[in-house]
Amino acid sequence: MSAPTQQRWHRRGGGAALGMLAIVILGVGLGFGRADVALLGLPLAATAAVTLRRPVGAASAAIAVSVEDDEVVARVQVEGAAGVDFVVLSAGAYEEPPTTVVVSPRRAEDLEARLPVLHSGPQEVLRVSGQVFAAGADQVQHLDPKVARATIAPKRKRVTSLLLPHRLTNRPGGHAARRLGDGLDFRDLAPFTPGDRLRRIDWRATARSPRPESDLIVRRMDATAEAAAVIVLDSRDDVGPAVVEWGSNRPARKGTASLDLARPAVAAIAASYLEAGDRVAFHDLVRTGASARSGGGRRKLEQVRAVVTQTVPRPGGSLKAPVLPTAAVVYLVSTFLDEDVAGLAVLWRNAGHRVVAIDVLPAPSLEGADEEHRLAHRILQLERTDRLDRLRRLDVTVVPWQDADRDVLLRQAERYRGPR
Amino acid sequence: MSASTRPKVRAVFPIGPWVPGVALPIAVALVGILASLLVLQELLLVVGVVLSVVAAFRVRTPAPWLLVALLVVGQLLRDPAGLDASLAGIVLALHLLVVLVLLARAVPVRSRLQLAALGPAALMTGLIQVVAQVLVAMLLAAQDVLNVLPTASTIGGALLTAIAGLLVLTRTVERDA
Repeated sequence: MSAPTQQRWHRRGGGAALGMLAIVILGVGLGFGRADVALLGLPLAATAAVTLRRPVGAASAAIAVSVEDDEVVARVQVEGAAGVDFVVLSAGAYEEPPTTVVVSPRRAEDLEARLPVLHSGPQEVLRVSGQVFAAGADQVQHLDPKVARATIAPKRKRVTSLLLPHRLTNRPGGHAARRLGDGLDFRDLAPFTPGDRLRRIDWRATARSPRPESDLIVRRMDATAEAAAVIVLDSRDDVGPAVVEWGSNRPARKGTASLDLARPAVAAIAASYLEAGDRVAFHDLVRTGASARSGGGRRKLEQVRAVVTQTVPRPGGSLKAPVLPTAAVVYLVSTFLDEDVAGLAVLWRNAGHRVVAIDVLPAPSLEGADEEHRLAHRILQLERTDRLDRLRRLDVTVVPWQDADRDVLLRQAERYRGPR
Repeated sequence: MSASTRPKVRAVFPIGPWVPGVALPIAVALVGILASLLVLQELLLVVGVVLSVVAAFRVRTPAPWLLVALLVVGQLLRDPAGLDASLAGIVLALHLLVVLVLLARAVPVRSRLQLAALGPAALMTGLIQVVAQVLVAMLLAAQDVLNVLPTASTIGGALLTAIAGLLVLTRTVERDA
């Protein structure tokens, strides 16, 4: 069985040309009786002879990628290159043009590059190709190109304020519900009715009761319930601050992109609700995107983190609105660059859900943008601002995730009890 | 961070001492010009210098081999009675020229060339030159120009020492790394 094309040694032709030249020079030197000329040809003939050596073996490259703190460590190993002259390696990080190094075979056995973590989620980190040269650099073997991919998980963070649904479900849990129950929060005093527990009788209030016909006064409490939080991610856009890159979307140049903001936002919201004992579901708005069904506990958190980490941008994907549980708090994570998502927010708000719009569009930079770019961006931003203002008017909480005041906004929204 | 101030993301492998890959074509040009000055005269010298520059820019074309042929023709045109110590330099320059051409054809101009990667080529050049220079010395002795041998020996010895030093340095750095 013959070796793959990439693993064959190829002559580059320089050795043959040199060999012929050396023979001619030696012939001329001897023919003209000029020992000095013949001497010129001797080193050339010896060098040409070196190029005739037949290298053996097949070299191959391998890449291993690991994530350490805020760096991606890529190890490139070229094996089977012992005895060759040198190795030429071209390595391109994050789909950028490659840089080339020429190293000895010993050094090529273990090369390490440290790269910054630019984005979260699945991504191409390093692409390596190369050649191995032997026999006086006249014979070459091409290495099979290798691509190293990594999946970077979002950092573990929390949100400081948890927003609750305007009307909680009737399951027991840690939050005060707006219905009567056995919670700890005092609601009001009311005349005793059949079915009231005796321990709820407020004897002091009964004694102070001005109405002589009243029998007993009971203390009524709010019920407790767990919140059903639904996090919905719009994965169609993954745009960075550099507006000129919105078309090309090159990973190394677009900056911290909307999905880089969205992934930690989803993870932080999910972590905070799940730690409070609530139930969380995650849905990708795009039809082909992954989802995590509603549930609670640590395993649900890991599931949500895993699903959101694997989420990739799906530009042009068709939307599919998820089915929401009754009276849920819905976090809609999007760039709100088009009307469709805003329409869903309005729909859900009108259905009685508490809707929080998490705006993950990075602060734009118009550097390098021409006049057409600037104008188009201005129109887009005006439309977007109108859209978000409309959502605010419809009682949708809008939180710009990149804003330093996002925790303050969430805290203000937490105090807001909604329309009664 | 704006696009212009954002650092470019490059896969940088630490490789120890290195020179830019463009050093090889530059060396081809320099050695070609030096050899032309040693061997060629008048119009051929101009042609040789031009050809040296062309060979450096177009190292994958026949230009370098034409330069070698031109240098040999130049040597052929020289008076055989006027042999001197420059022969040792010409033999070395021509050899270096072809080795550098072979390397420059393989090494990309925009690359970082680890010095240790030049080890095998330097070693082979050194070994071949030892034999070649001995033969040059014998030829010069036979031509009764033995009085120039110390000069040739000094030049050859210095070059060999430089090559050996380069080898030792790069291998030590590589081993320590």
